[in-house]
Amino acid sequence: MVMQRERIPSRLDEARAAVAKILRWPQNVGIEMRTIHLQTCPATDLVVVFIRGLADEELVRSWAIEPLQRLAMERPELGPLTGALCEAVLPAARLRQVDLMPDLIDAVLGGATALLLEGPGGAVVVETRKPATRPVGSLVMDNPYKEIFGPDLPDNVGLIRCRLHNPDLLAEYVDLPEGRPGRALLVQMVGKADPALVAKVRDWVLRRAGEQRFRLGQAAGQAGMFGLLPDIGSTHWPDKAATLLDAGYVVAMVEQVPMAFVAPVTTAALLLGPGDDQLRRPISIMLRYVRVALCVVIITAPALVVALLNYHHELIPTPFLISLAASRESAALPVIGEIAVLQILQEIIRESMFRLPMRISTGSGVIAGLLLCLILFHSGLVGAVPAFASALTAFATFGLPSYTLIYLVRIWQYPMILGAAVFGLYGITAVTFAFATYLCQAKSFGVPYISETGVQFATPGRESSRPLAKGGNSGGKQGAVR
Amino acid sequence: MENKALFGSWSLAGAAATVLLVELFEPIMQAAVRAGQTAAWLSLLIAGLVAILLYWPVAACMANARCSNLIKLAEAAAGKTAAVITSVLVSAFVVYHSGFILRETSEMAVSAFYSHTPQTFPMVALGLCAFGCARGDLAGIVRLCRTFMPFLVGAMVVLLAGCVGWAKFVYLVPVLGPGVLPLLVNSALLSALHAPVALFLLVAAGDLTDRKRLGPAGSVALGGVTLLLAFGAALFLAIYPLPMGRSVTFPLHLLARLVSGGRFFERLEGIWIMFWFFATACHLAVLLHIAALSLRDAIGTPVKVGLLPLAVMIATTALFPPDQGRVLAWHAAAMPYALGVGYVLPLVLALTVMLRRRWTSRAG
Repeated sequence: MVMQRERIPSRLDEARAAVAKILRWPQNVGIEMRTIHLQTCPATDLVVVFIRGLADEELVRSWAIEPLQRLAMERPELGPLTGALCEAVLPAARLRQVDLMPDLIDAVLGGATALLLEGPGGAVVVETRKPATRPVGSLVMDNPYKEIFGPDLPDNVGLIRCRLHNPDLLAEYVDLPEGRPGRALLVQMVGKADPALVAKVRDWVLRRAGEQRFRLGQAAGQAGMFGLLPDIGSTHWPDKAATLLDAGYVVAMVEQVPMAFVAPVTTAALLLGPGDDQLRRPISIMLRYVRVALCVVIITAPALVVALLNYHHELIPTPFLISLAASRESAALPVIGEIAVLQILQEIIRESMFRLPMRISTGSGVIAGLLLCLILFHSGLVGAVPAFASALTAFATFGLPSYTLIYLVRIWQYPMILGAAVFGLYGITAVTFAFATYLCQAKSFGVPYISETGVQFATPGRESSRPLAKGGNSGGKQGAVR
Repeated sequence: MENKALFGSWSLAGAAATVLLVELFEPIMQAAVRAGQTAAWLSLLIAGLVAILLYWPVAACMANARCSNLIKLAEAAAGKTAAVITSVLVSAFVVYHSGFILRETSEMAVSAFYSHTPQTFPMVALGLCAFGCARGDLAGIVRLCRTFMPFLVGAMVVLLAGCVGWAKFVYLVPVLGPGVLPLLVNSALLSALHAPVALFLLVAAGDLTDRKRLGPAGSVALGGVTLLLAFGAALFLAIYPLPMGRSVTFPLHLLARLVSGGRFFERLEGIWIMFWFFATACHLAVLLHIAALSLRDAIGTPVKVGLLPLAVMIATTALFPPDQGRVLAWHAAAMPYALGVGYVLPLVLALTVMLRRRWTSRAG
């Protein structure tokens, strides 16, 4: 919504209605608009506007509301409350007066509290932004936003609002049927999200909100056959959710579940890492291609080793082929056997890592992997090339930003290895084709997984993103997020 | 209710280009060499131009007549019977052409890489992949083809660029090959090579978001791939002179063997088989699906029900010829008839619809 640079109406009810319309109150979750009746002489009404999750409610009470109530009680003879009186009573360093509606909305979206008064003085804005004391996620990224979602819904919406700062961001509760426990809400960017998509996500929430699995934060449902692809994504990261919302995606949240569900799932969304929106555009695009390359490495590296060593010797440079042939003189297992041993070992180490305390899991996993690889190599059970391919795939999984993606590529490794063992490159190609077919046919909420354009990041001073096209169509050009 | 999945004109063009790219791999190149001799590249250019000229009016008529695809056009022209006959012709052509393409590809895989493997093995793998793909919706197949298109075109460009060093363009003389008139006639007949893609475009038009873009989308695909084909043919004949070029069955495989990148990159032809597989599988999946679609529109058979008998017939056709020589000969012998199914039939139907509309409007 483009706001006109118009003055705040002098009549309180008009000003209140204007602000309510822009911020979509009371529909919009987190927007607080309270009317306070002050016992001055004559009595004065005051409208307080702030956003839960962005503004600190303790500060709102102690810095904005209580001093004015105290003034009204102690000095009623001062008459109706005005901007000048507010300036005299409230903490000066945190106070400013605004005349224009966009400035008022901007301040509220930034975490300030607006006090709307009767009369031509505009409104008073008190700085009440909440300090960052929220749950903190991984510290390994070069990402200024370390916060992750918590269990409280308005707080989570606040975390998204911190990053989007746009009055078109609409968060609304979904009316769950009688007897369904908890609350759920939908977040969307009005004007960017396809209304048909929003309706589908609402239906999905209504269908699944009462289920135990959904309440535990497990994405339910599947987009493709065999249950490999989920029909809805999830993220712990507010910045990722904000980036996707800005691109026209829809976010659903459930009370007590410290994550957001993002619909639809697309390969672009799966490849999006936390903090990507903080990078310059060419770098973020490059990173996405790096992640695609990592997926290709994970899926194909062990299979390629099997294919090259078993079927396509001509593709290996001659000097290297000679040394390879020499090293395989004493091989205990065929190549497919070596790869199988290494892959099983890799899965064992990975599962063990998940069961260890977080601080030591990654380090001990890497060391265990290296040690076991070395032992296997020196014992002659596996060759250097299969060991290298297996280690490469293990490290490449660390570079992928989404567990859904990691599990998907890990599972696809195995048919690929089997295809390579049976048919060499021809088998790899056949399995790749099957995989590509699977991905191209899969849809999430009617939007294809492989869609046409990428998730675009906002650039300062410009309308961001190429949103999901509207019209509710479900294939090709239509729904394309990418 | 789930809406029908549609695709845009660029997606359709990309998919059509992928379907066409198979011609670069298949022995169809050999047909071009026979038709145009040293001017095979010119012959392919003329064939591409003729294909565009024949295809464009049908696409324009289909957009104007508000017929969603070829079968609906046939129905509008001469009733339900014409629709059934058209769909049977389309299916028969698809079965015949796809069967031979399937067999040729598996023969090639066996002769080049898997000499100890029965040729049915790669055939089954390729056939299953194509069948699995064809079972999806058309928008998904188009998306798949479009996804592969840049990789296929890139690989072909790299391959052809890698062979340029071997070329002696003096082998392309005489420039007009057998002479102007034979060249024109042979090239016009050669446009039958593009009939499968014309059929694909005309049947798939039903799911296109803007049917007015059908003509440009098809023309872009035909034009672009024709250029690549012509360059490939010119390069092939500039490396293998005419007497040898005539007898080579799989020219691209031979060209791929020439590509090398110094001491560490040699004998890279194994990589090209991957692209060949992708292009052929896309080609087969698309043709199989449009045959099933045409049957659905004509006689109401659900696509998934129609696919199975068609796939069985394609497999039977593929297994029917006793040897590779017979496969190539039979395929080449039947290709001129593709002109009738791919261009003449749609053109006649389009003209009939236009004339009927004119008479109806005059009478009205």
